[in-house]
Amino acid sequence: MTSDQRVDVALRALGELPVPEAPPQEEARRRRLVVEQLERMQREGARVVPTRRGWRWGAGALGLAAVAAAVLIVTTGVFRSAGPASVVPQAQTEVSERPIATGSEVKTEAGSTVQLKTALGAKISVAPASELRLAGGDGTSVVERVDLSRGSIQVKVPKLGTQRQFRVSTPDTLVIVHGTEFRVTVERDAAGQPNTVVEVTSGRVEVRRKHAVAFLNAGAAWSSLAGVAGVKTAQAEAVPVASAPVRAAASASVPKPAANTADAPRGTLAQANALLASALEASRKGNDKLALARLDELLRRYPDSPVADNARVERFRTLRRLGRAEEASRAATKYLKGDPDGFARDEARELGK
Amino acid sequence: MKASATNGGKSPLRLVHGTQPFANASDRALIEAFGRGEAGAAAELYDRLAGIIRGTLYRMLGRATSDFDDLVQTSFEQVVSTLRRRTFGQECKLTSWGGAIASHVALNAIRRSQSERARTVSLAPDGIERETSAAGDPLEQIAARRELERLRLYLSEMRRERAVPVILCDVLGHTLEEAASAEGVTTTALQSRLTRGRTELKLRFDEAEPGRGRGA
Repeated sequence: MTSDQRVDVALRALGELPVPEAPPQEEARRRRLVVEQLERMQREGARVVPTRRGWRWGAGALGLAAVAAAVLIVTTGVFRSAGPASVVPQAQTEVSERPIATGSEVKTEAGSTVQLKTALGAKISVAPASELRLAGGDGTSVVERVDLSRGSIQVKVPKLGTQRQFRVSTPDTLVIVHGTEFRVTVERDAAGQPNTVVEVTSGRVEVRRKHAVAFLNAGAAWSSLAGVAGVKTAQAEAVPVASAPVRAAASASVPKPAANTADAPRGTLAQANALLASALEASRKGNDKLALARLDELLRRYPDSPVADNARVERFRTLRRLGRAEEASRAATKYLKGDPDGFARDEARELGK
Repeated sequence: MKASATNGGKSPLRLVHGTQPFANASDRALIEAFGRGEAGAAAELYDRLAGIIRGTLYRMLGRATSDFDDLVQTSFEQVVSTLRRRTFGQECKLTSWGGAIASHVALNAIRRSQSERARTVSLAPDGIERETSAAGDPLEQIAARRELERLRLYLSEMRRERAVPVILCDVLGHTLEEAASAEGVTTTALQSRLTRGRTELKLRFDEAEPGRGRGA
């Protein structure tokens, strides 16, 4: 028999192989199981809103904004809840919506994307090969946080006002916004060291890394590696927060933020910075009482300033140096309450004990 | 509940479950009804595809393996998922689509079992009995079984775009047009893939020593 004949015979035999039928009861059981699963998928699919791009945000999030959790819109991806693991099959490419709890992890494979909408209304497009955790936000919280450990997300945050914040935390950077559109990408070099890149589409973003903070306006980009080297892109305003001299934010070379995108009125940032610089200068000269007065004035006049958190940190440090331990502890606790992820959180926790 | 006869006498009766509002609906109408969430559409989808999916999996695996029901369910889930993201063309039969999906699922399962060095297809007494029941000579039975094992192995080792057309056309009996539609390619492209698949299969059989070849 030739190989042609062998193949033909084998293929024919395979096609003619009789398939045994299960007993009726067993077949009925199998049928019920599969049909139930198909009906579950059918129910999920009833809420699908496909478009040419494959998905869009559900109108009004289908009322899920009231749910004390984020809303997930999936194309292809995997998410793990804080509780028992729940996995969307990777072959599943349709769109579905479901509430997911704070603490859930979201992971996209190569070629897959996930769309999220948080309780505060932030829309997050998770790029392929990304990993993040929904670390904050319970529907009543004033601060929502996403921990991005790998990959890239595009975020659109509605105007939240001065009391609410949306944050993206990466291995080396914290991004804080009150209402804007931006992208955060975490890259890793050959040694596995992270590099966070922040690109602002509209509005204004605060970026913190170690003891430095930068404010990015629309069109600006920032890299944590470049930040280490002291390099920043155009339209970024750098405000050191340690003991280094404070640079006036509204310098001639730095475009001012548009009035309708900045939370603080134009000019107040420079004034707040001037007060902070004065306080730091007084501290360096050993005049902590004057420093404290300057900081108190800054916080009284500009409590929502981008440098207010820096002032709060300097304030509890100053109180500690003055030997006013109880007040320092209260100030540290207050700072932590307003900014649990602040750059001085460890120091504040230690002092607040 | 009613029963209806099937042709050929191999399966004298087929169980039909309950009222089936979509029994006479076209494939497209059924898919659209399923997409709208209409009751009964999921059951009809199962009834139309259960035969082709179970048959494809069984033939490709050689028996109802321990994870057989899981593979059936996986196939159905993938059918639903893939149907949602593509326009279901009138020219593509639902059964062709189901057969293509089940072929992919089966080939994946075979590859998995090979990687685990636990190929159940060659150790399945139930499958062996059925595969060799047509032959009378025990030696011929063994040879026929090995040929089928070899065929499954080679198909699983081939590039998917060549293996699936062979399964669809030469094993499951779909037309070129049906297979092309299920694979999402033109008939010409499918024909090319089918030809290459058959050629590769023959080369693989050529390379293997009868009775001592790969998969034997």
